[in-house]
Amino acid sequence: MAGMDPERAARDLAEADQRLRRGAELTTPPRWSRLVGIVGVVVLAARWDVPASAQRWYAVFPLAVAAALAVSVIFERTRPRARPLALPVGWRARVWFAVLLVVAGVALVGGGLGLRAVGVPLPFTLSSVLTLGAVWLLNWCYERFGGGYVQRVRRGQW
Amino acid sequence: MVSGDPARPDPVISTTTRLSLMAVLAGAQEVEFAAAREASGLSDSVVSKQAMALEAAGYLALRKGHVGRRPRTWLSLTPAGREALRRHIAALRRIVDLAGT
Repeated sequence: MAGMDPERAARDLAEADQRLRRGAELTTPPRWSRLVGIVGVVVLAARWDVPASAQRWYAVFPLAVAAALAVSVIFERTRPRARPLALPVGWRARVWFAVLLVVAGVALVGGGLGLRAVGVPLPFTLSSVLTLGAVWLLNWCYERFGGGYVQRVRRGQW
Repeated sequence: MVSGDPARPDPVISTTTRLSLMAVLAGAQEVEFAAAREASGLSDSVVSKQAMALEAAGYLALRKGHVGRRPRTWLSLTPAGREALRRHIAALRRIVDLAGT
């Protein structure tokens, strides 16, 4: 191998780069924000016209989320793909990831408790918005920091 | 286990088929056999043969599992395999750089 010629080395490098990108593409995280967004918008839009007599239809929100999750689970289990290197790389990314997870949790739980404490009733729509916001924030954290390694691989910095 | 001189291309990864397979696996924690085959552009038998050779070298790990009732095989690079690939790529870059100077 010591005598490998530069042309062969260059060809191998190009091949490795191409295959590396193909492998990294397999691990593209699912775009949960779109799924959550679509479900949320549909449910919230439907909510505006729900009369008081049909309050039980509020259950449509958890049902819709459960249905969306079930579809995504089936999709994940049937398609032949790859598991991403999802863990953030480097202490700084890990710390930021942990901090943002905590912030998202506080936003979700603290928001609801705070509103209740000041005597503001927490209507379905508002709680839905808070939940969606928290889920969106978690998803953003995952995509922004969780896929850092994959993003670097795609840029050829590996 | 990382074989050979770190400054030189790794003889275990010297064939293009092994390099392709390892490069596909490098971007993921685990890749399902069919996905690895498609991404590497190799045939079933070639992937199977090279995967076993790389497993014997300690560069690749095979995991058998099921998705539903369907049997699946998952391929992943071992830490030694990841390090070997990194060194191999670095050695290739050195060869190209030296030729350019």
